[in-house]
Order: sequence, then C-alpha cells, then structure tokens
Amino acid sequence: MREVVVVRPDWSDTACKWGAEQLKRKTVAYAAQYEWKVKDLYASKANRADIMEEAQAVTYASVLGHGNEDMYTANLEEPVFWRSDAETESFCKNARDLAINFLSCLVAKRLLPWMISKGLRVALGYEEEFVFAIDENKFPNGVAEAFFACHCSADLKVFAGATMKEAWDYRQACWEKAISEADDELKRYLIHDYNCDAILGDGAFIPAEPEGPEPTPKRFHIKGDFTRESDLLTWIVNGTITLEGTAEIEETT
Amino acid sequence: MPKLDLSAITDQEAFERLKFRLMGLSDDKKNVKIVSIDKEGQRIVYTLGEVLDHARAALEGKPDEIGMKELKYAKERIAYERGSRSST
Repeated sequence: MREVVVVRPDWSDTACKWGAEQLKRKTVAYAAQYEWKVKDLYASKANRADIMEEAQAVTYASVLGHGNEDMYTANLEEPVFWRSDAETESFCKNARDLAINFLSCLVAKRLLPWMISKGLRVALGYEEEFVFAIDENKFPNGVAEAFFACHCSADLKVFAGATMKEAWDYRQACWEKAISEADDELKRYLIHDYNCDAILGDGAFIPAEPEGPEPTPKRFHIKGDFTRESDLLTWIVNGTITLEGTAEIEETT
Repeated sequence: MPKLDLSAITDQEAFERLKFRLMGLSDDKKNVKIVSIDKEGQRIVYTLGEVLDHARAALEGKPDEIGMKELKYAKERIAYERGSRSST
C-alpha cells in the first residue's frame, strides 16, 4: 500500500488552525479515496524528529507550516528544515525517492532549491507568501475553501498516480479556474498564490510507482515446432514449455 | 510558466483599480480577513474593509506594509488580466 506523510501543525495560530483543518478534509480524505495509507502528524506530532523519521520512509509528503526563504517550521514554529543545516542536508541525501508538497510561505525561493541541490527528488512550494482569506464566522468553510482546494489539488493528482509535473500543472489549472469563479474582491489573492506557486526538481517522478525491486525476468524454454503469429503476444507451440525460476502463470483461453 | 510582469503598472494605476474593485463592499465582505505575513515573516491579519486605507497610505509613501502588499496584489491582477508575463 502507498503511504503519505501529512504534517498538520495546529496551535493557537490562525494560519495553521485553518490549514490543519483543510488538509484533514482534503489531503487526508483524498489519500483514503485512493487507498493510500496516511501517517498523520497532527499538532504536537508535527515535530522535527517525527517528520524527519517518517518522511524518509515514504515517497510523498504533504506538509503545512510557517516558513521563510531559508526555513520551514512545524508545530509551535519548531524549525524542521533550514538552509546549511547538516541534518537537513543528510535528510535530503536520503530523499532521492521523495516528493514534498509544502504549504508554507516563501520556502520555494531559497530553501527548496538548496534542498533539491542536496538530493531531495522534487518539491512543490511558494516563492512568496501564501495569502488566503477567511470568514471566521464560517469556520471551516466559506471564502477560505478555494485557496486550500487549489493547493491540495496537487495531492489529489499524486494519489491518482500522476507525475509531480502533472500534479503541479493540474494545480495551476485549478488556480485558473478558481480565479475565474472567485468573487471580484478576492481574485487578486488567488492570482498572487497562483503566480508564486513553483515546482523544483524532477517533475517526472511518480510517488505512486510500485515499491520494491524490479521483477526478475523469467526465462522460457520452448521445445518443439512453433509458429509465431506476432512479435509480442501470440506463439502457437506444438511441444512443451518449461520455466526457469519461479513465475505466476495465468491461464488464458 | 513565466511569472506575471508587473513592471509597466504604476502604484497609482493599481490603487485606482483597487478602489474600483472595493467600492460598495457589503458589511459581510468588509469583515472577511486576509491572512498573510510581513517582511519579517510575522503573521499579519487584516480585513477587506481596511484595505483601501492601507493602500492609500502606501501610495502616499508611508511605510505601510499591508498597503504595499495590496498594491502588489492589485498589480498582479492587472497583469493577469492583460496576459502580461515576463519574457524570462
């Protein structure tokens, strides 16, 4: 089963309160829809030690938290990844089969390019501040919905089996659609997030690809007379076929 | 995709567009909060009803960070609607 790490810091902070609820209702729910197992690091579990450990065991992580150009932080603003930090560098060296989607201000400006240069396979994030609108009387819905629906749309696409570039392209299309449908006084904020949304690293990476070693090729020994009807699929054999090694044989008519 | 090109849009033009967009804002909308950060990375929360005052202050050269951000967002909207993107 595929597994995703979702990081949802939540304390008395407005942005994280709304973000954590939205990621639960979107990213975590999308994962279940596509039968991905979820390691949900919520509130105090969204700490550096747990994030470092859990994210290295999976191919995809979707993380929320405050950030700046050089640092990503989690619960209570505990620093998790920062530029020139030896542990972050070591994490990246072991993250060659990991993609991370950051819902965090500014990290795509300097932190993510540095993490990619140290080995992290691919990351999505924002080069400037992620701005959003809320109507506190309508928590958790209302005007905030479009901002988080767009951000989380990349997670949905990844769970469905897309490459990271396809997931990012899909998110860009979601921003465009949301902009066209938004109330007039909110469009500029959606346009801002759309404009600073970035992908860095190997966009061809597919987090949902099968895990484990490549299947071992099996050798077939064919004895007798046979004719070939096509190059790939159909051989008519008048004799015996033996297999070397183990293989599952599927009966066909 | 190339980023939006804001270079040809003045603060004055952005402010005028913002003023036009926010005219006649309903009371419900005035209380909608915008969640962002300042240049130090600290959270800032303000309402749609306060946007024009901040933008006007920034236009007058006062160090109003919310106003400067709002003028930038207004420029991004103008550039988006014009399809104006940088060549790099």
